[in-house]
Amino acid sequence: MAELYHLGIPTSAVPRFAVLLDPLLPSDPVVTAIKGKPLASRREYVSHSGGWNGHEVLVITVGIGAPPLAIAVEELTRSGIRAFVLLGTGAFNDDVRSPWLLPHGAARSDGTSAQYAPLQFPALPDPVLRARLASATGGAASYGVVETVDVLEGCPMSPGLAAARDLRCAALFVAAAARGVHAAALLVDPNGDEAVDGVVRHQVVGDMAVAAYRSLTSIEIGESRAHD
Amino acid sequence: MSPSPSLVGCRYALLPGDPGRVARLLDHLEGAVVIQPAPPFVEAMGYLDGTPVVVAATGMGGPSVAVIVNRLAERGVDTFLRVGGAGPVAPDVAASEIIVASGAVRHEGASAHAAPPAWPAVADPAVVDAILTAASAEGRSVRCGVLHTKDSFFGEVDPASSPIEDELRSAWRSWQRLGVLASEMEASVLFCLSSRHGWRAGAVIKVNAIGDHDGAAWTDDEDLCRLAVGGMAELIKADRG
Repeated sequence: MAELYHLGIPTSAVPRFAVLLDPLLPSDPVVTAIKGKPLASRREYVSHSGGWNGHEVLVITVGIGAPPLAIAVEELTRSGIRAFVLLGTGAFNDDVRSPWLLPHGAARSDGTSAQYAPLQFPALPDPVLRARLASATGGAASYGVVETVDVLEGCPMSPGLAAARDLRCAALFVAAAARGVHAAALLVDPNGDEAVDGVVRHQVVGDMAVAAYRSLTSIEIGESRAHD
Repeated sequence: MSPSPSLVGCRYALLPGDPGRVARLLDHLEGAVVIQPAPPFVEAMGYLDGTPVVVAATGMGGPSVAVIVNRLAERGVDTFLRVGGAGPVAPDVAASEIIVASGAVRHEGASAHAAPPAWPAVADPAVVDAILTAASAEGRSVRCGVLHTKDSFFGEVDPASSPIEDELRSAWRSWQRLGVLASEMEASVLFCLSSRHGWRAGAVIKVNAIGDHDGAAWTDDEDLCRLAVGGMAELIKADRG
């Protein structure tokens, strides 16, 4: 049976919707919400598949940083995934008052997105999926531009300009644009009020997962440009 | 230009590039008053359900739009909607289509003065969603996606005449493969300035017939102006809660 090279998932088992999961977040509530069954476990990628409202959905942990995320997006897009929601973590600025941040853009201080597009191209979520995700969070998320970096310990690009820093969003948005698929993200701060000792509470992650599944399965899926 | 006291309390602006479009936007507002009648930088004001809205022509290009929006912001405006024209980039975009910008490619110089190169030129989601709501309410089909903002109009329409022809064509193919919808000359500058200063901005454009794309050239921008004003009305409504 053919398997995705890095992900180890049988190509025949890839549906149209995927949740990309930051390994810092507990996976149990995300998997449980879709009554997920183990699909594969290879390298840093742990995959489950389940159902939401009659739609088959994949959940996969994506490792640390943009490079392994891009590998996952590429292999999944080539096998049939048409829409992604990243459930991720970020270091929020103090002035972010909401529990979650819904990036409406990402500053491209990462290396991966530059290997897809000139820096002038904006890293943006799909506008429809972004709006559906906002509705699905019921007001628990605020919009903001996140700065995607490769090393969190470095200096922020321009103090006060971005609402948070993360390791993935810019690469996800630009890779999705290059492949003509839908993508959006929902972030939580593991050092904020939603977490205890750096671990985001299961209830919070479960609520994030529900918002992701609702929005993903509500959009009309276009054709991808994966084989341009 | 001295500050106009008549803009006091006005936080919303409609920004056509072409001064000729100011009057056509004003047709959709109540109690229109012309503040600056002489081209190029025609400025006027009207009301939407009692809320004042300024209509100001920006002229063409990043440098010009930067001057105009900075002057408006000095007078209290913090919400900007560009209402303009653009040429098609994506092969399946047809003339006369209306596009709501989610963001824009920064293929210009002025936005570098507002934000570092890695920053995305992005429209404010509240502005985007207000225009999409207005379009949906009038049954108008629009697309929402990324625009391309450039400084050289003729680099787009006549790359063969340019000393950097290969570079222009190569970049253009990249924008197409990244799903960019249409090309114009102001949006990314407006968006980056708005990020820098904490303003809200959006853009709604109508696609011109440029190059070998299908569809006739349009001269009627009535649908564009109606949708822009309808979008602004939705935003004002949302702001009131």
